[in-house]
Amino acid sequence: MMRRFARLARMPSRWRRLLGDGNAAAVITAMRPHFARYRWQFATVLALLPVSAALAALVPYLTKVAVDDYLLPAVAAGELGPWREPLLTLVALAAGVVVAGYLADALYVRILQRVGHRLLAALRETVYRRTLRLPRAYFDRNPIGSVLTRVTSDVEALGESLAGHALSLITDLLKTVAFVAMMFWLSWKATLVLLAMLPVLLVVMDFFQRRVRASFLWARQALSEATGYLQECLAGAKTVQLYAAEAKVLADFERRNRRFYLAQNTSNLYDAMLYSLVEGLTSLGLAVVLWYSAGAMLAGTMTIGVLVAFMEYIQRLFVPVRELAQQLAILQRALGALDHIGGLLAEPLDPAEPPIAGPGTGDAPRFDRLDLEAVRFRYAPHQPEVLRGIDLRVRRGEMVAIVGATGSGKSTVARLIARAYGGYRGSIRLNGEEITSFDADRIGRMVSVVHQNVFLFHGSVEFNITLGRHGREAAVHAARQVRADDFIRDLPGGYDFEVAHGGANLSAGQAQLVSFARAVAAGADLVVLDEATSSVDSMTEELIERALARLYATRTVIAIAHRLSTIRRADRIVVLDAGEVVEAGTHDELVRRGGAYAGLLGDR
Amino acid sequence: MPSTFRRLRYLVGLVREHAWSLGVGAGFLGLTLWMSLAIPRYLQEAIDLLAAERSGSEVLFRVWLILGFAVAMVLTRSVSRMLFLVPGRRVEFDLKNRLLAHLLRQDRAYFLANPTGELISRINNDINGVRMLLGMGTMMLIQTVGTLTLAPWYMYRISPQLTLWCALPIAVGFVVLQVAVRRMRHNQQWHMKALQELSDFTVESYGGLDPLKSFRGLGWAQGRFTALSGSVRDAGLGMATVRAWFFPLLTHLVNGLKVLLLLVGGIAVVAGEITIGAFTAFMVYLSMLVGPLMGATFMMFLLQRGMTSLGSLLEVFAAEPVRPVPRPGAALPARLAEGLAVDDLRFAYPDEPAQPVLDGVSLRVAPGEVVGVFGAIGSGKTTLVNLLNHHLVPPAGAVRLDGTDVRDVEPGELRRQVVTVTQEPFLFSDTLHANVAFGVQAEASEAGRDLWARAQQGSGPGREAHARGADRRAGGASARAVGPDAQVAAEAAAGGDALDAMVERAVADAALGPDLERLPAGLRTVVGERGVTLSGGQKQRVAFARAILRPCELLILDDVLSAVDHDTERVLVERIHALCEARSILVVSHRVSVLERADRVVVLERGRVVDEGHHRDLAARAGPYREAWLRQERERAAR
Repeated sequence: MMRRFARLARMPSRWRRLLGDGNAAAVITAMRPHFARYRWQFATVLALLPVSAALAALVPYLTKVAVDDYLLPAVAAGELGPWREPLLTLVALAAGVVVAGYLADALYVRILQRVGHRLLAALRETVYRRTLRLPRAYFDRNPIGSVLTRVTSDVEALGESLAGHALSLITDLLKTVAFVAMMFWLSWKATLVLLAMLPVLLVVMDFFQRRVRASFLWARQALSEATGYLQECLAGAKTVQLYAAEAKVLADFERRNRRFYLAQNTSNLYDAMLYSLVEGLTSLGLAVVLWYSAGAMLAGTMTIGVLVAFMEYIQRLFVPVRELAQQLAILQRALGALDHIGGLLAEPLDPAEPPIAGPGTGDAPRFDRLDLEAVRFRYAPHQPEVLRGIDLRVRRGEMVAIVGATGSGKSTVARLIARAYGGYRGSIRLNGEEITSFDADRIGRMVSVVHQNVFLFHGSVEFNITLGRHGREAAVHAARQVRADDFIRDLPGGYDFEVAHGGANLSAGQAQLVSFARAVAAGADLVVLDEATSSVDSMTEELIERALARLYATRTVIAIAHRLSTIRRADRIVVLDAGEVVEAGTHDELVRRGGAYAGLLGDR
Repeated sequence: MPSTFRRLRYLVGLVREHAWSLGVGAGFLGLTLWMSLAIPRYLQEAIDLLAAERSGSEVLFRVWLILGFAVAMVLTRSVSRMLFLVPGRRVEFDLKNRLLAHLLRQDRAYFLANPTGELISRINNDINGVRMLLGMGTMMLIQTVGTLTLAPWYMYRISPQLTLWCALPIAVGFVVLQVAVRRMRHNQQWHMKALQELSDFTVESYGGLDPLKSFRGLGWAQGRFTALSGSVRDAGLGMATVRAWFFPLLTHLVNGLKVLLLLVGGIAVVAGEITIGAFTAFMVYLSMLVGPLMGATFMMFLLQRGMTSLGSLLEVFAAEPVRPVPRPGAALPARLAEGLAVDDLRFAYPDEPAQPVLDGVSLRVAPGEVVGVFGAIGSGKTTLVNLLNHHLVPPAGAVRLDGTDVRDVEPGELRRQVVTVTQEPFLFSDTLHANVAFGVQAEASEAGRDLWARAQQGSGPGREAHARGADRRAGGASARAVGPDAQVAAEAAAGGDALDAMVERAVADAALGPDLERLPAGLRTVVGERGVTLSGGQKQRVAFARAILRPCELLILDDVLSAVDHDTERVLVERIHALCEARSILVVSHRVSVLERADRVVVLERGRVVDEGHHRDLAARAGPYREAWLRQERERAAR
């Protein structure tokens, strides 16, 4: 019993630890300016809350006054007579109290809800802005789905629990405090008798709650296992069918499903008892107070009016207790969400990524030269080096092809030049200046990257080419340059054609042409082309080759090349193997030499 | 959406199935209700006794009664809740089992039209809806209707006049609340939609983070996000207004009525029409109305959602795969004597009927033969394989096993004889051991057969399907492998050491030995989502091990060696040829090296057989096969 009490008393400290040690502080820091903006609203709510509680506690008291001071004397006198006037005044007063209580309640709920939704939006935007500036490596480690959860579900959970449940918990508690204070004032003995049953109740409820929570966790786990297996069975339905294994997987699923069923029913059992117990509290309290009154009234220390008022208070006294169990679970979820969001906010940002201003439209500076010297790189501290001393020089107007087997490090070179990753050793200089001193915006103006996996946004073709930075004219101009104009005009709506999510309604070749146009529209002098390996039909192949030919003619291009046609066209070919440059020269030179390049060609 | 009548009929079926539990639960709930409504009556008597300054013993008797009722109510309420909620869970359990069985019967077209994620969320939502309808919904219905009729009746008995005074405001308040709830729901839907758009955009922007960064689109992305987030906020503000002005309305309305009662009831007390005890009891009854009135909204939502879910679920159950009816009595012999015969097989996918993928393919695979199918990407190889194993439905008479049209036999029956290793192997997130043993355990497993058999009858969730223990194992274990493989199956069924030994042998045969040594727990390593990720080549070999462990008459290997290196390939080709003693093998590949030792190779090009013969003949004559062979030889020389 004592241990239970101790555990109960420890509860808040557990939360405090969660708030203090965890990442919640980061959220509070990030949100402080926003909190400050709504300080008047918060002040109003703080002022309204006790008012609302006091008004709620006042009505039963007025009832007591009416019963004891007017009604009972009138009953004894057999007529309302002189008590009519004061009763009418009292009723009018009580009606005013009720109306004022409603207004106070509605007002503070409205203010808090509105502020809450605004704060949530601000938090959501803060978190999202932060994620955009996270280093590329963060997204390598964390799947998009989990980052999305931070931005959407976690923020929503926080809002739901803080704006809705935590708030009503606090106001209910405040009301309870007001009720108890009023009851004390009316009859402190009766109140103590009523409160005497509380410790016992808390212990019993704690007992059940503990079991509800444990079995709930068990049930959740069983459910996620069953659902996970169900999902696999459906994803692998073809395999199941081809092995005629339906009966086997059904049996396996039924076993998991049954585990959930049993766990859930255990949870239900404790939950039903807890619920019924809490529901019964009011009746229990009624009996206890009545029992005390029976003695006290005969002794003349209590009046009928007080008893009537107590009946009213008891009806609402246990509301917070009733909701506490449910609210705690929601509050815990909120604290978890707070911790997750804080964790994300505490992540170090990509040093290259400046605070995001509006869409950048600055001029593209002229590109002259790019020099890589003894560049070494590894993706994570304990991983092997991907680049082991790369030297590379590119001058304005050149077309350089980088070739090598899968894993030779060629895509890594492209990523470093585009500053997708920092933390390399050696030096990478753009126009003689180390690229670590460039911010992302400046790099973006000088270097355009055409990524291997073309990424198209859900929006118009025009938008996908300009990314919202230039108008229609620029889009058309860029598309013409890479010969994408023809096919775009053939699309329904032309440049206004809505590209579906992930570019699903364009062919692979068309998507690549759009991505070339995007690179041209960006206006950068240096284009890093990470060529797609996916196979396309020969007609598309021809289209792409023609587009690329135009690109080479107008820009300096570093191509991570897979196509022979691209490689042949290069002014210089750099051959990578295991993170080192093993050969460099023109196609003819390298073929004559018969080394690594010739070997790569043979494999093709 | 199925008609309301059908949905109701199904619901009545479910209720009847759990009639005992629900009935007794309703009894206990009624008892609880009666006690909770009786308490104010004793309170009334007690207060009147006290007001009359009567002796304590009469009052104490009421106190004990109330106390006894309070304790008894805890018990009866617990019991009634369990009796209502457990059937809901039972229905959930049954429906999930039945639904999986039903879905496993569906064909390729169904899974193309219904992605797994969608099916899962539908299963979860709909089944939850039905569960809540049956459990929580029916319980709340009884409780709400019970309280809202009994409490006013008791109030009416105390004072018809006072009850009438209260009835109208409450009715108006309730209607206003309903209107508000409707608006709330509208706002909630708006909120959900806005949130969905926001999360769609967020995912998209993260996916395109590289181009956004390199093309300086972050400012745009942030602006778009802020706009979408603003829409979510606006929807939230709409909800805030409703929540603030309408949700506290009912509670405060009842408070207002109590004030009214003070005047009207007070006058009645003074006039001697009612006692002060009755006055108090009336107030208590009034308070008791608030909960059910507020709950009524939730209950109606539950009932509504439950009926919608039920309709949606019945719709899922109504889906039937389009597949030929097996000819009664048609069966495959336990051992094939003639083997596989494909004659003039033509096929086009239903969405592109004008583009034949297979255009008159014929081939033979005799028992003990290894036959190769060679073709470039897009030549129709995989479509051919899918037609042979009945994943797709071939035209009548085109695919026969020992003279029996595969359309005439149950797909399950066919697949006991024809095992396919698909191009993209599917592994369960389970141990490697379990993945390899999957096929042979499926063959041997007895559990789950009656569930499956019931689903096979195509009855859906109708009442017929509920008949417990209906023809156990109908169509299940009838066709068992006979011959040397029967022993294998029997050993596998025994599980334990025999199975372990078999799995180890299969793993060794699939050249997985060295890979296993590098895995943390060897064969007990969990693979897939929550475990170690295997490479494409490793997955292929696990699938291969799974297939060779399973006894069968015809083994189809669909490009299963595409992701393994050349040395491993050589080892595996060796194994394949060793396996053919017990069965026929069809090896499909775009790599010539895999087909060099086949008894015969059929060359496919654009859905037609353009050549056929032994490797040495094909390599000698001009054609796609020779071209591929030359390319491969050049590569070999380069190494």
